[in-house]
Amino acid sequence: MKSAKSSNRNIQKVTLTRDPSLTDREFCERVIDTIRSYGLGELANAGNNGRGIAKINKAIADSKLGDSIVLAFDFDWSAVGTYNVPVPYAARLALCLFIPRAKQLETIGDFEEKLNTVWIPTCGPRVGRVVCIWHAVWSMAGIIRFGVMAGFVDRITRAFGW
Amino acid sequence: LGELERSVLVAIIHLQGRGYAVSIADETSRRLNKSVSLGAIYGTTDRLEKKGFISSRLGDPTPERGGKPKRLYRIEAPGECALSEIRQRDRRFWADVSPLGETA
Repeated sequence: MKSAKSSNRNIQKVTLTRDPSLTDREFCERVIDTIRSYGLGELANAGNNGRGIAKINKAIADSKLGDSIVLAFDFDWSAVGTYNVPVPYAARLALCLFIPRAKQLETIGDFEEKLNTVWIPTCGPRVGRVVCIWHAVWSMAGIIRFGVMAGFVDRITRAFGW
Repeated sequence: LGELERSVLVAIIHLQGRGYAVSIADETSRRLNKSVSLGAIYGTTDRLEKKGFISSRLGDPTPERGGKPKRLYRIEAPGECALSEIRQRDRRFWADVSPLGETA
């Protein structure tokens, strides 16, 4: 398990159409939502590096109010800093014990994304891995707790016809 | 529907079919103003899927996930119905009450 920063440039193109009815603020929120939903990582990470934010701001500044235009900008992961660290085995074990087999791969992927985009950039590789294990165990405990509670409430609700 | 289930449904609508566990957890945390663990999101989406309120499909893999796909969620008609019912009930509940809690 190496914790080196990825050397390859992962440039992702995001195309947005600026609706004329949107204000600058609303459009900015749309850009941020899109970046998040495309899995390009937390904006907080982009905020750690001025170049990421500068690119977003430039894209917004270049767009015109009242026009319906298409924006295309590249999000350069090497400017933000990406890692390619796999989820630790202890975390994988915790996840695989409580997640159905059909959903295990995506679940490990979710934790890997958090590990590489939030926990390692924030805490460093070693502590990031510990945080990942902690979150995996805590999340699995949450699944059990939530499942038991929700099942109980469902049964009561059905029994009394509420 | 509980508060978390409701928030997850709203987050899924907001993310317009591109919502997956991490983005749904972020959006739900922002709306509820408290941190929500991924485990809570897995439990909730499982239950909502069993109830037929949402459906899921596998999305494209991305580099920061080590090439693993995302499970993308979208809302279905029963989920939309349940949410609008809750909205109408809330509206009726607060109909005669002013924001300061005095009767209108």
